[in-house]
Amino acid sequence: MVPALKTEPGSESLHFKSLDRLAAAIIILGGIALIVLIVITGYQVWGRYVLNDTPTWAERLALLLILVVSLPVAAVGLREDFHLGITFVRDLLPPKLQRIVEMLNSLILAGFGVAMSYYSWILVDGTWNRNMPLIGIPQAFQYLPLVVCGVLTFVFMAARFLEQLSGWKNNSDTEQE
Amino acid sequence: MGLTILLLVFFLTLIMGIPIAFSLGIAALGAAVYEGVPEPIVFQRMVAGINVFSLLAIPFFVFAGELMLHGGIALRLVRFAETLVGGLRGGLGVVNVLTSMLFGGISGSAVADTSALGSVMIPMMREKGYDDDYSINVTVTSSIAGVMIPPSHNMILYALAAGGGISITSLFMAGVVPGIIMVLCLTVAAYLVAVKRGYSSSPFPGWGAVFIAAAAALPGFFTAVVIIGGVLSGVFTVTESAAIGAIYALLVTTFYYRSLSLESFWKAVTQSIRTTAMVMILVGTATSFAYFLAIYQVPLLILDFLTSISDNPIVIFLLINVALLMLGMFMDMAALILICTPIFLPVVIQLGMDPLQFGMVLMMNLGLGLTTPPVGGCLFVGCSIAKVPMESVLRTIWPFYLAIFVALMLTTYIPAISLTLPNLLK
Repeated sequence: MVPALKTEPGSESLHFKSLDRLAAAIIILGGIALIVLIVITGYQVWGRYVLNDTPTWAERLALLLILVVSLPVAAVGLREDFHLGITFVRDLLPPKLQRIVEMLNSLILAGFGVAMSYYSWILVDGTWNRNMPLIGIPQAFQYLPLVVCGVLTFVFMAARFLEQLSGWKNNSDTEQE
Repeated sequence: MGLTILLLVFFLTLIMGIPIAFSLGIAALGAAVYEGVPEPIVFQRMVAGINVFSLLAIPFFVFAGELMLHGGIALRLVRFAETLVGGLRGGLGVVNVLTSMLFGGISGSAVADTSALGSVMIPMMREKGYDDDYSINVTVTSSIAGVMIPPSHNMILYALAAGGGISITSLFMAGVVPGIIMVLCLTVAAYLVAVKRGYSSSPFPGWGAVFIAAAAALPGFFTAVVIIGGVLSGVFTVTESAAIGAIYALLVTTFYYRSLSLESFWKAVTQSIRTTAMVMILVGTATSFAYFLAIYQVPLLILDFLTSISDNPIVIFLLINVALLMLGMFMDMAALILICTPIFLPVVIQLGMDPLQFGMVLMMNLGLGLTTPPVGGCLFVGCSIAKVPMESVLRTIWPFYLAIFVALMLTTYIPAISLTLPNLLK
């Protein structure tokens, strides 16, 4: 498998640098969450064997944190092209058709992002008044990372589409000249 | 019709180049719309799929593997294996296989194994006069040991995809013997090819050197002992063992080896969360996808199809091996574990195969897929490290494929290979 959404760097004239900064910030937050996750799980063992007092909240909180670590970072993966996919079929197409398919992919993924955030928001809304056992915070927090993932997927892929579109226009202009 | 939509959307978006994790989610959403299933269920299943405590072991394993990579543990394992078996004819080939088994036991990932050991072994073998194609062949194929030798995060994915009814500890134990058999088959292949090509041997450095190298490698290798020991003794859960293993690896590389800078630590953290995110979103969308596969009773359809070809389990197991091999050539291992397990596991259970044994057959088949074109992750990494075109590697890789195939057939048709150790430990 290879990174699935690879677009040649520099092939677009438009590039949203602020989104690169947003992606970097999410990676930093995810990194901190991972460290907290390891500390919590380590503390759970420490509490059980050394303090003789198992922190019952630890497991539940760790499960929530894994959603925070993985879902927004998964959306960043679309921006950074680290997800795996099959590209050899698309690579067999003529260059112009390849670019059309890449633009189509961005649109499909942006649409999926909208669906993900909308339908996950319904889940957030429906579980807001129900608390998670042991940690006492609304169950809605389980689904919030999915809403964030959907919004980010939309933002990153809509931006990717605009970047691809500007690259397409530039290429067409160059060809006409 | 619903099943057709599910599969059509999946394959179409996949060949268009949409990442597989998202293809699965889009296909599940398409099926939900068609069937009139409330769409939020697709996303509720995603969260339910990720929200499993044993899955938390994955980021910890990945993090421990990254620390091994950036903290100098891989290099020390290579040095140890080199002093031990480097004196044989074509010894570095055997060193490569042996180190893959030791390192793979810690990292649990074939691609990480290729990347970590390849960057050490391939230049070293080149320097000693080994051909590049041989070095890549050995590095790439032996990396599958990382999938088989415990702890392996792919086995956690398999346990999850199997519906949670399989003990991860038993799975870990089931991988030991097939993993060792595969390593032995590859050692024989590496040795025979080395003899045929006339690679020279270097003098044995003496037991003193072996002892010194072992002493240097042992603290790093102890990470695997901490993880496996914790699980087997029942002191820790798999997740806790993985977290303790990661903390231990961090302490060893920072304070004992003193080879982990703050920069490499942060690199390990950020790379780990990227890998974790990649796997977790895949787990989530594959859970939604599998939900629809179950609604459409796909395992039953597959069983009917296979038994219409033959009612002999030996033939059907062979057909399943061929199907897994073919799929493995095109798709990523984690995705295939999550997709194929709910489809094939009920079929093989019906035909009398133990789920633990099927797990090993699945891992070996899909591991082999990582080393084959057109989309073999390990093959790509190996070729890119050595900067050698894939074609020249593929011309000479056949003895190594044959070695893995022999191990695969033994694991498929001799249940005791996978089941003896877990049964002994029950």
